[in-house]
Amino acid sequence: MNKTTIVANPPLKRRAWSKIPFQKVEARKWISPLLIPLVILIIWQLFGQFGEVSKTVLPTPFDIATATYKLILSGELVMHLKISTIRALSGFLIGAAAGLIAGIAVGFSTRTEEVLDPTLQMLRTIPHLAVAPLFILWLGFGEASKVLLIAKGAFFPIYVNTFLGIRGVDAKLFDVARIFHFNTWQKIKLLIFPSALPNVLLGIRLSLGAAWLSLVVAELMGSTEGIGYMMMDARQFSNTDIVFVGIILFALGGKVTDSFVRLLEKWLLRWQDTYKGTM
Amino acid sequence: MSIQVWITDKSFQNGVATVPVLQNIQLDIEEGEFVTIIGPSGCGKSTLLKIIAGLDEDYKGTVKFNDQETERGFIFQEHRLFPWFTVEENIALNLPLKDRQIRQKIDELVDIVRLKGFEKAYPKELSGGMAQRVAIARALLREPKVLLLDEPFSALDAFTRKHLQDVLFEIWKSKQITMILVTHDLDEAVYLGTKLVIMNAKPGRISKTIPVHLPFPRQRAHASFQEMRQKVLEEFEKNEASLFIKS
Repeated sequence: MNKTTIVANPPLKRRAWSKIPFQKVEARKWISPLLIPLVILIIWQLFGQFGEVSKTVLPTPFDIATATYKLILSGELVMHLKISTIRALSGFLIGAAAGLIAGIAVGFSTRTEEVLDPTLQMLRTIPHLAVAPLFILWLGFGEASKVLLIAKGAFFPIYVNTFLGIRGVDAKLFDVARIFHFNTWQKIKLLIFPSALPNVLLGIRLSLGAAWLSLVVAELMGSTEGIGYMMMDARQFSNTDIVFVGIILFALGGKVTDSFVRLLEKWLLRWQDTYKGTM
Repeated sequence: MSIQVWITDKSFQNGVATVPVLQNIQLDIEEGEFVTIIGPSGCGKSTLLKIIAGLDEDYKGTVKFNDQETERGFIFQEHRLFPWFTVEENIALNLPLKDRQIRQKIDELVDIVRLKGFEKAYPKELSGGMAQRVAIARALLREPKVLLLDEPFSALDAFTRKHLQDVLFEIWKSKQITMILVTHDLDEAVYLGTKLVIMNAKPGRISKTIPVHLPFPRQRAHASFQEMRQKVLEEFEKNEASLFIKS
């Protein structure tokens, strides 16, 4: 038998919640993030109902809910949401794929870095609004200019983070790879890729956020469908409630995609040993 | 299997200055020997080990194995496990875990290093001693003819260290692997070694090689053990390096 018995530590529990029974912990986990929005909504509703504020300036939450309901009934909401989602997704996929490839290429070779990185860093700082007119001039008002703008937004976060992740691999583990005669593919698959993964996932999260932001710019610049168009159209007719519906949809869309990636992170990075926040 | 080490010069570049690390190192290692290399910090013993392992190729001299394909294993001071892999994946690494033969060997090794039940654990869930045992199993899976160990137990507590020294001894006895262990722990060097290599600092060179003929398993409290220990200590004092040794 063992001469010394060594037992692995049990996983850390959230100490702050430890005195509260399990069900309450679950409930609090759901309620906590909703608390502030809920209070704001109630104050907002009361303010709109009893204050002297015009509905074109600030519609109440109830007005917004009604507008949403009407938009769903007429089928407009689904139609606009669908086209916006397709734009955001295709732009994101193109931009993120290009960013990932560029990040890998630059991460692996200092020569590629010297050639490519300065140019990309220059392009990175050019704002959307500055290039959007050019994209429209070159590609017209169609889908191509919009998707390209979104792709531009999604490209850089994942490029920068993939590059960073690859360069952040612990050099000490390369000694191990050398001792065990890893070939190039094994080095990439077993060492570099898993090590860079946290950064790549962070890049994906930021790229998704950037894709949503770029979508707004693209659709507000000029389009005949999509959530951005719906908002522009409503603004012209002073239907402020519909503008709010658009804002909320963008917020929700961003949150849903972000949560999805975070779930992915939780699963793929379950090996990580980092501070989980116990204070 | 025997190794002939002959290093005329190994230096590091420190800015414009060239700092000599190893000079005129001559060391012959026979098959099945347990060589322990001991010396003050900064004497280049870890560098010597890396050169033998083939991790450092920037030196003047030769390291000859009578069989060039000799498989070398290396245990580092830190465990150097891949944090994203489980214990069994860490042992297998670039070898297929699904292969039946390898699977069987891993199960055997997990048994030898007493880690049954932890095959699916991640490194973050292991103690320092357990992680170092995984590193030992990982090296043994490749069936090395030579195992090089760079102060492998120095970061562990006294009990775990003693336990792992015994584990290592058992492996050496049963598998007939040639061991080269670098340490700054005098007791460890005398407890395990069949040949003790004492090194000197600035620049690093071998001051003396002492064969240890004490029978195994060795008793630390035994008079002959203490006598050997004293002999090594005297050698150090002669080198005026005794300050570096904790006893």
